[in-house]
Amino acid sequence: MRRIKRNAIVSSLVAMSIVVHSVEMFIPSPFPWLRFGFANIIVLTAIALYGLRVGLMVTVLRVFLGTILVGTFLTPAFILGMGGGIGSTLVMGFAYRKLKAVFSLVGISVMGAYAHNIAQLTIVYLLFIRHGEVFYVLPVLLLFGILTGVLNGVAATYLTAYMARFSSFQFESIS
Amino acid sequence: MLTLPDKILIGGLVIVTLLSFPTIRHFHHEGKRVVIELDGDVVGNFPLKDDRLLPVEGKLGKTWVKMAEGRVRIVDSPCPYKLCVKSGSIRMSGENLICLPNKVVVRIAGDDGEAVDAVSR
Repeated sequence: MRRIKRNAIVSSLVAMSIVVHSVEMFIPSPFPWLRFGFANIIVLTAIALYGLRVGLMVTVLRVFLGTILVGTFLTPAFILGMGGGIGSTLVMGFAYRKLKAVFSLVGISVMGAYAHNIAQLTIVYLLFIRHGEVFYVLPVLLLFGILTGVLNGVAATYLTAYMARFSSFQFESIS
Repeated sequence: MLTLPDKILIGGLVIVTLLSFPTIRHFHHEGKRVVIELDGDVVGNFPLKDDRLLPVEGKLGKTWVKMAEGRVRIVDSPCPYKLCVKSGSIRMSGENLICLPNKVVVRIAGDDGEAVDAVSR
């Protein structure tokens, strides 16, 4: 029974993050690499409610299913999404585990956004463009990432509080 | 919603990021050499600091490459749209000027540009 409930919760979180991620694609951006990362709202909520393991499951499944849906499975977009996603999820997961008394979800979200950008650009450098110039865009990405990190963190705070009210979303230590 | 450590974290990251704008320039390699390619073959390699006016003889005629004050630009070309001329001047490593019709590529290399210091055809 616990297993079924856990699977149902993880599935709905994955579904939510795919929807949020897809909707984000329709928001015009001056640069294709400047994105809001709304899927992070769901991942952060998953971490806050159910722990790092569920957060990682949501991230990995979201990247797998999301890229299969839009046809970028196993392309550079997939590798970047996976690398950035896992990087930021790990940082947020450990930050929440160790520092939740100090930082709110907004602060943890900003850390995740920062980690996401650094992880992604490092992957671009290591795998695709071996040129130091790649890091030229890093300050722009990081600055924008802080802004989106705050927005996502505020959204995650509301979503966490909202979901915690429903018994169907309650699960004592499902990890 | 925001705790005090949150504000310190966000403010600190903003400051660090803003400071990294000038710092990251040091990672950007200043161009050292000008490499000229014709139809894929390197036909010239010069130090960027030289002042020169070079004719590059392509299929359509002479593409004139001008090097001055640490910058390079194509001043005239026999191609129809003159996109290479309109590209302006370049000076940073990795930048390039391309004249597709005349198959001329002018690119800026870092220190590792080949050591040939003359037109080697």
